[in-house]
Amino acid sequence: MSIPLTPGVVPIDPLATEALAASLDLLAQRLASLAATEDDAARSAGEDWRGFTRQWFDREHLQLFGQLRYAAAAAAEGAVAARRQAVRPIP
Amino acid sequence: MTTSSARPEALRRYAARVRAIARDVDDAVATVSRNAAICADRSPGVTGLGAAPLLASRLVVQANVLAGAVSRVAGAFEAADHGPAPGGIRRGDDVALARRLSAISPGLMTGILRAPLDHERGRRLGRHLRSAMPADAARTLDRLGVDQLDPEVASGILSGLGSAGLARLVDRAEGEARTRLGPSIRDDLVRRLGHVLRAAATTVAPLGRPGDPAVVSAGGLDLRLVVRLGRTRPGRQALRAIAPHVTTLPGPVAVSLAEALLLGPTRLDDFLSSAPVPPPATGDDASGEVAALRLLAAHPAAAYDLEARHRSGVSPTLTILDRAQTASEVDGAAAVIDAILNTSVDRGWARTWHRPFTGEVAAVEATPVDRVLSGLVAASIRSDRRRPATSALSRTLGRTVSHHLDFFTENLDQHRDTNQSADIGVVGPLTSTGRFFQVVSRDLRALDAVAATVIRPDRTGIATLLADHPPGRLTASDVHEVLTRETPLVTELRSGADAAGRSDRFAVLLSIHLGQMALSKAAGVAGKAGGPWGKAAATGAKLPLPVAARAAENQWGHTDDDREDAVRHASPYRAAVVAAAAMAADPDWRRALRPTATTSLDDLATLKPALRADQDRFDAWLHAQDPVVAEALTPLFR
Repeated sequence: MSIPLTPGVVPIDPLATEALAASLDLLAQRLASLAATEDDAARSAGEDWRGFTRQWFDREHLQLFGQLRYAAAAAAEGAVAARRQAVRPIP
Repeated sequence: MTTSSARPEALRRYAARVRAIARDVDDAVATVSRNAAICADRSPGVTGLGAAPLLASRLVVQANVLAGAVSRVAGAFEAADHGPAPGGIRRGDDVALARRLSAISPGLMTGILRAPLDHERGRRLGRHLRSAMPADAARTLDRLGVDQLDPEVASGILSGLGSAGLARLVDRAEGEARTRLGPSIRDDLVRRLGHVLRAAATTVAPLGRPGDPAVVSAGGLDLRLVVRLGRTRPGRQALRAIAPHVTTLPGPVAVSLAEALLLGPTRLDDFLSSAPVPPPATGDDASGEVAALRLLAAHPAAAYDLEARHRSGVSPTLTILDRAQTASEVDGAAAVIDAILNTSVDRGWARTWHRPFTGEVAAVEATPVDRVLSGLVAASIRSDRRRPATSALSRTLGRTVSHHLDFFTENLDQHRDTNQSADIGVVGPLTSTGRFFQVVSRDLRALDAVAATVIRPDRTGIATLLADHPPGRLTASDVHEVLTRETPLVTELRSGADAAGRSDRFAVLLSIHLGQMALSKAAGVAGKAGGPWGKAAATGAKLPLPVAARAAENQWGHTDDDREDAVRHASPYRAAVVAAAAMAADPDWRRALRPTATTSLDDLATLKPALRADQDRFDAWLHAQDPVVAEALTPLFR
């Protein structure tokens, strides 16, 4: 249900906003749980692996999973921001 | 060169896992995008949702790229196989792997993945140089343009040459140095080899803190090369010839070089053991050793690491100082000592010295700081006579006193007892600490700094003396007793300064610092009602002139007066000189001071250069005083 547009008021649909917040939450959870698998995946792949390709792998792997965590935090923040605006009193 | 080994099937599992992650993220991003579009239509007021969807979309791409690359690396491992190894691990050397990678996935061959191929190119060249004549070798390296040499190629050249090949090449050049063109060929060769070592060493990461492991990048320098060179006489000779041409080395390599040239057999040892072979042309001076010292001293963390690594044997630092025969070597040793005793404390690698728990001394492991400090003081007597005196060493030892004053205060008696009867020098018996201070006193700035550290109110008992005795009733014997009973360190400093021929300077410094104490103490007392100095201040009777001046103002101890504060900070040295001069004019103080002090103080002109900097500000302060006080003070400075 959309709030009728009146001059000077920006409409906010609580349901649509909540749906967006929920999907951002889901994205955050998924990214966080994927980031949590980092140790297992890397440990298994890195077993007995040394040398220059290993150095390259470590760098790339760290970068990817670091960004996974960063994106998870950003998605969670986005969900909080959406919900905060949904309950904002209408002027 | 390292040998890579990996389990290709594990790499493929990793790639599959990352692809699955990419799919999951992609699904979640699609949902977010759909809801965001609806929201944008129905709730345009909702803003500031952040960059999460965009970030996640990029992650999907990045994850797929990594998964593909890891799969190709797994394929390259399989292709580079030299057959199965125990446990199912498949092995292939770096070069075979890099070749396969370059064939399978040229796009993956970034600079780092190409490093083993560059290393291999250099190694082939190095093998060729093993049997080359020195002139040919120099020309070949010249054509490579060694100044901009690729680090991996340089590492490969050294790897191909090997320690024995490198030593033989330099040895041949030394042998030919007696021919007409020999010297220039030899110089050319060792200079270019120095550049090669420098370039190869850039693959070694600098040492952040002592104890950090050495990290070498792919296709980089084999750290064992310098170690192996240090084990043989020709190897050490080669290092001595090459080291002066190396401008800088990372910490771990500098440590290996120092171990080879500064702690192993000396130049003389090598020369004697090489008879009847004539001495090498480049072995006549200590330039290799000086270079090793310079390269080590450039990395305080490495110098500290070297000391820590040899904790169970003889101290490397003390060995280095003991062996130093030229001024350059002593300066280098001073820099190493500075790194271990002072930089280490400044940067938080080590604590200042403190007394270990007395009941369990044996259980307390000596730190590098403890060992070098104790060794320096204990060795002062026996090794100082033949060592060149340099300002750098004096200043380093001076800084050491201020960093570790507790050590000198608490270990004084021990060294005094053990060394009291030693037959030492012509100035009279000096303790180890006295001899230490003698070295310090050779440099005036070092002596000034140590005097400022050692002669302190909280350590000398002079402050108590001043508080307990009304002005005019302080006798020479009082001061003398306090100095000898409560401040043995000051006495040691006086002995050391005397032995170094700095009696006058020491006496001036002593009176200046005592004067400073008198000033601050008088200011504190005069600020309160009553008290002997306060009463004296009130009556103006028999008080040293500057103390009277401050006491009359009765504001010296307060900091809320901007004018006073500015003057006090601008002229601490001058204020102390005023007090010292006044003390010298006071009969009691004059008796307490040594004759040389009063003589020097009478000639204040010698101190004027040091005071000229804040002359104007001081004059302004002087003219702002009560006319009577200003009039009394003025003659002291004109």
